[in-house]
Amino acid sequence: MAEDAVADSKASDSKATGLPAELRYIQYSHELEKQYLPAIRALISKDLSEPYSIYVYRYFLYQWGDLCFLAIHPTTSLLIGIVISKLETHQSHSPPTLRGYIAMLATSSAYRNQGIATTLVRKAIDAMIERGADEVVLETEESNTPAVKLYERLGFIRSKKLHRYYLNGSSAYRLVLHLKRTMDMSGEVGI
Amino acid sequence: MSSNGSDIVSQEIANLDINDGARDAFAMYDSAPPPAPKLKSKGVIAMDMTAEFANAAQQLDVGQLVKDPYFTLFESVGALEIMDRKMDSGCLEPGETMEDEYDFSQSLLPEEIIGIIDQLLCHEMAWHMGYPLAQTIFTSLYIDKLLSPCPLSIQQTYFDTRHGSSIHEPLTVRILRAYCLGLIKTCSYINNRVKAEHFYEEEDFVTHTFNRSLLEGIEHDDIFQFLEETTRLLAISDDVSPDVKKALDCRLRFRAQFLETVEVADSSTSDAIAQHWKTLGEFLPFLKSSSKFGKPSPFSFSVKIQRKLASTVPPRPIVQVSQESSFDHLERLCRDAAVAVEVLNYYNSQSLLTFVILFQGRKPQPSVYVRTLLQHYIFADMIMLGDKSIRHILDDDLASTVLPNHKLLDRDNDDIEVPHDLRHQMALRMETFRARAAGSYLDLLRTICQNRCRIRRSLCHTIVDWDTLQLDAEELDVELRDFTMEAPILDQQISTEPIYSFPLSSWAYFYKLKQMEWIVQMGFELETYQQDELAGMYWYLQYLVRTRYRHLERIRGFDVRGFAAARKDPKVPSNKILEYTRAVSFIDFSSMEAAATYGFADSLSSLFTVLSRLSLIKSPPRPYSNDSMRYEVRMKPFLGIGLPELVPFDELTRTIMQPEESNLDLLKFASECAVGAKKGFEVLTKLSAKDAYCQGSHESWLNNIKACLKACIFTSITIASVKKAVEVAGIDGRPKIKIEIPPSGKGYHDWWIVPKVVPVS
Repeated sequence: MAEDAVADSKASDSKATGLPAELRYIQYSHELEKQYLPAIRALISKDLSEPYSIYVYRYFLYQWGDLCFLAIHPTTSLLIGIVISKLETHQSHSPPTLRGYIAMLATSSAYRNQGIATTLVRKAIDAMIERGADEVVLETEESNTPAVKLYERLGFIRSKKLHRYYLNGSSAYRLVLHLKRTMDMSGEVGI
Repeated sequence: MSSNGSDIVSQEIANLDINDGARDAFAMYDSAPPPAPKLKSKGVIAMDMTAEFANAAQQLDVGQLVKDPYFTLFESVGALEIMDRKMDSGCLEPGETMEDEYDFSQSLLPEEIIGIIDQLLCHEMAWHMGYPLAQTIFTSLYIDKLLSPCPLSIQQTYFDTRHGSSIHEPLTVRILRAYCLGLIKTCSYINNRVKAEHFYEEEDFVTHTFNRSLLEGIEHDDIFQFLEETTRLLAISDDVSPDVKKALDCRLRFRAQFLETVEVADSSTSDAIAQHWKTLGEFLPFLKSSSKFGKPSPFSFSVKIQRKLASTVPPRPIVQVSQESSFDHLERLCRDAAVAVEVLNYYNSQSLLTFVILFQGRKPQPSVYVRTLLQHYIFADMIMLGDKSIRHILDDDLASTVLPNHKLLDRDNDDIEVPHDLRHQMALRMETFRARAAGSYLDLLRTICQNRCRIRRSLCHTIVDWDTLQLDAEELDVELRDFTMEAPILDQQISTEPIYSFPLSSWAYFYKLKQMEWIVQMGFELETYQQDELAGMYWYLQYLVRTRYRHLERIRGFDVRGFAAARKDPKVPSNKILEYTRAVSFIDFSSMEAAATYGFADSLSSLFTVLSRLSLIKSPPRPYSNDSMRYEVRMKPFLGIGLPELVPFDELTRTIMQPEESNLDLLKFASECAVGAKKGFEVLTKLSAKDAYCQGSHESWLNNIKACLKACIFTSITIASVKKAVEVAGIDGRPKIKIEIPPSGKGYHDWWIVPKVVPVS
């Protein structure tokens, strides 16, 4: 599945609730491309053996920029964290749902354990809820315990394990969060 | 986006320029515009669109993005960026050449031959583990030379292709060539076997050969003889020191044996298969101990070869698998493959299923090639186990559960052609049933042959088919009553309605329940559940198993009734009487296993409830979720199942939390259940292979039950520790303990997660 191919979640732990108050979180929009896309790519591809082409980033940012959030350093304006997601009607084995998908999540290593990734994910989920999402899904590497914990603290559960999902041969978990009861899911964009 | 065809063309052009010496990334750039494409398709007229393109481009602002509606995520992921070294295979570092300049005429020390061969074995095992040829075996320059251009005879396989060099090929080089030929031919057999069965490309194995033929043009016997002849030449040569000579000889003979084994393994009749694998395994100790004579030859491997391979992905790093883990993998492969062939010894349908389940449950799981061999032995050419029809197996299964000595399974019915004859009508409907059920039954066997994650995923998808199968079978059961003249059981104590046996739907229900149990149990194994889900999941497991237990009681009732009637009937021959005892004995066995399982599950469920009441298991805050919505996610595979009904969330919560019971009451209940389950497992361990329906895999079966037994005993210990801590703490106090939950693979049994109690001060 194409969707599967982009899966990656590098997340930070967020034990501390005291975020740096001055940190700025901004919603992505196209004007930011020139300033931030190179930094976004650098941050995401840091831990990847093979980088995504610019088209992968643009695929998400162009269509769902409002579901992508940046954490920015207050004084230097440097990129500290990023979440990239999408929201689409999904239909495979079961009735259609409006499914959010968190494609990429990363925090700069110097700023981990401060809840930045959690805040970014929450902003993405909040934006999805606003748009009537029925559920949110993502994949994360089996061994990436901080990421799994982050999502589970928010309410995700592991629905299945995906064998040798990544190019490096490691397996993944599919994490799922229902935002509505199954009977209330319409698969369509809400009002 | 990425056009594979043009990549290859431009690379070929680049290759032509190679001798000029590339100094920068643009060295290969041809400043003259390429010639206009020669389009020959009818109705297509080529035209120069430069001006129109430039004009259209001017309509856009700088930086403005345009997205074609057909540009999907798939395309975006497949897209490459030219001049990015990680994506663009033609992008060269300053001074880097496009291809390796390896001198194939150089002489190699015998020690270097050993080094290369051992490195190739590591690559071969890496391929078995699931990595592509391009990152493993195909990174060898010698293999590259052997396969490109594609040779059609052994004469065309010299590494050194200079004129006249064939006459003077040194023995060392010939040894390497013979080994490489044998290696590639072995891979060819394996690749074809895997491709012929059900597996998941890339996830399990990569069968992609990047447009290269794995010596399909050269006969097996030619290569085998070449290996043998080379072994003989080595034997009579005296240029090599004895130790090194022995090491080389072992490698040549090992390769010949491997090649022969994979050829024989494809047959599903040969008695010699297991012996072949054992013989192959016997080479390993010396292969291992003599690898110290090898001298690495890293320059004979190159990541650059991937540039020449037909592929849509950028070059990836060479996969490094250690010698130790490749020997381990090969050793297991030989061992597992020798066992897999035992599946051909058919005892009965239940033992077959047990065999496959236990074989696939081996740790680590048998490799993909061995799993596809197993599929081959079970299903090859739609003949089961080499010589049985699907009907044979299916009827065996029906006879040993719901239809012992039953007229519905009488083969003579098939010969009746008179339409109003009851026997003709029975045969007709049984054929309908078999046509419907065979697919699901065979799918079940095939599903169990997949990787662990896929087994659970597939079961989650196909379980609903079994629900439909049960319903369809129920209709047939009702229709069949008109022809079997089944007399219902009339028992006012059970029901005011007459009770019919519903044999076919009963059978489907039995297997559906088993699979629902496996879905839950494999969830434990794959660590799908969070700690605070365990009480609920073990409760659900016992609910399913108890349902199966009751269902077995029902089936047993009808079997026993038939048995009693048959014994009174002097016309029933003794072999037919035996069918009843067999069926009843299987049901008794399955019930016993069910009782131990639900008892244990009950015990753990209660234990985990107490642990969460004591806050020894904590639940995360989960601001975006609630318990009932998570329950829907967790139970999604079962939402569409009609029977047994999904327990509503509120009811489930009440049942699990048991608010009216005290912690000590719950622990007492947990302890009693564990004791009961322990007794059950103990009885099971004493069963013979025949009585436990595990003929052909008794040892594995016994180990599995013993592991359950150990887990059960350990649970009793945990319960006792928790109880003591609760008593010491008193009603309002906090017990001074904490809980550790072992990860999957670290406990006694992956399906039984037993918490460990650790005192805290």
